[in-house]
Amino acid sequence: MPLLLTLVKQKRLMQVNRRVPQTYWMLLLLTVCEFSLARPPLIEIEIKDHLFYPAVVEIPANTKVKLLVKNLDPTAEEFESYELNREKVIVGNSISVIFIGPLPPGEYPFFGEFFPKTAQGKVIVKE
Amino acid sequence: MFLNSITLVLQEILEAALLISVLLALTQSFPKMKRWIILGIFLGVVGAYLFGAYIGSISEWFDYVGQEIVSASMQLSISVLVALIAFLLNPARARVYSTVMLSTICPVLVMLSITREGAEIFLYLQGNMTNSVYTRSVLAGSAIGTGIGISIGVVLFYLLTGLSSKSYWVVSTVVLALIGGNMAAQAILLLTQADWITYSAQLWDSSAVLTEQSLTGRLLYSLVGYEATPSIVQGVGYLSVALLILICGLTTKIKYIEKRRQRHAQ
Repeated sequence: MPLLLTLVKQKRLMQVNRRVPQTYWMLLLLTVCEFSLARPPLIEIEIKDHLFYPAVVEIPANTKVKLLVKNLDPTAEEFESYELNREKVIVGNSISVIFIGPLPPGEYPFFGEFFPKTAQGKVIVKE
Repeated sequence: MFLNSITLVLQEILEAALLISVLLALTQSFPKMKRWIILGIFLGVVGAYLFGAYIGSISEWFDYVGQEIVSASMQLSISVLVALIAFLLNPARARVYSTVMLSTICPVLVMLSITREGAEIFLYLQGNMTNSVYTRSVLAGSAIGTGIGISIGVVLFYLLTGLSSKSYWVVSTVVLALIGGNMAAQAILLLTQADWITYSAQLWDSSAVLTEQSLTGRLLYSLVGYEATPSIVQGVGYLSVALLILICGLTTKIKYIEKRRQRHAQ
């Protein structure tokens, strides 16, 4: 009997305390939401006369980054990088978005596959 | 520019050529299938032109990642259709209904693979046509790239059809599995690029052994989907689709052979 009583008591206690974990859950959910809503840093790259401006881009390590590539040339270009595992056609006079990272520190070259002789650049990931 | 255009065009053409020659080899016993595949090639060229022409506005969809989403959906459809082909053409399953299904699947499959890759060639050529300095070398390079790509396809077709009927089906299924796995892995990469799939850790780094930039690396990329630094999700996607296709194409065949053996024994 005493065991049963303690069990019942415990259950009541849990019922009272149920709100506490609930608030914790809400807090956790909120932080998760905030975390996912936190926009990745935006970096702009322009393509002009088959060249990248800026040709060297610095980004923080272990962070997802949104690259906004503006092609100001009338011709299409393909943003390509073997190191970043990225490939995307950007038609003439248009804007495009490429997400990169999170990446460990290092250098990640990229190039324009349609005009590889001139269109060269690199992403430098720094701690 | 000359060498670059050869490899660029060759790389794009190889994927489609591989698929077309396997399909042609596999559907040899279906007399009218050649026509359907040729229709698929025609539709693919039209599709590539349209995809290339409208890629600018397609790119703006879904917050500027429309290109990735559309390409990835095409690649995933290719994976599914390749698995269906393996399932239908499985010697244990070849029935009348599969002929009808095959004549719809084959042209769609060919169309999808040419549309995706062809659009890139189309944009590349368009961009270089306006740049008179390179026009000649780019055109010559592209023609050579196309020639090499088609030749490899033809060689593969004769290699497959030259095999004995036993190994022919197994080899074809393995090629289908590689194509399907490759497409799934590429689709996953594109969805990661679009931030629709969250980043996953790197599975391995074989860039010290074979870089993706090298000619071998680029050819292997088109043929079997070689990546020097794939992610875990890509690896899982590749393996599961390839396994699915192998199961679709090979398992019942084993049962079928066993049944025949049992019948012979009786």
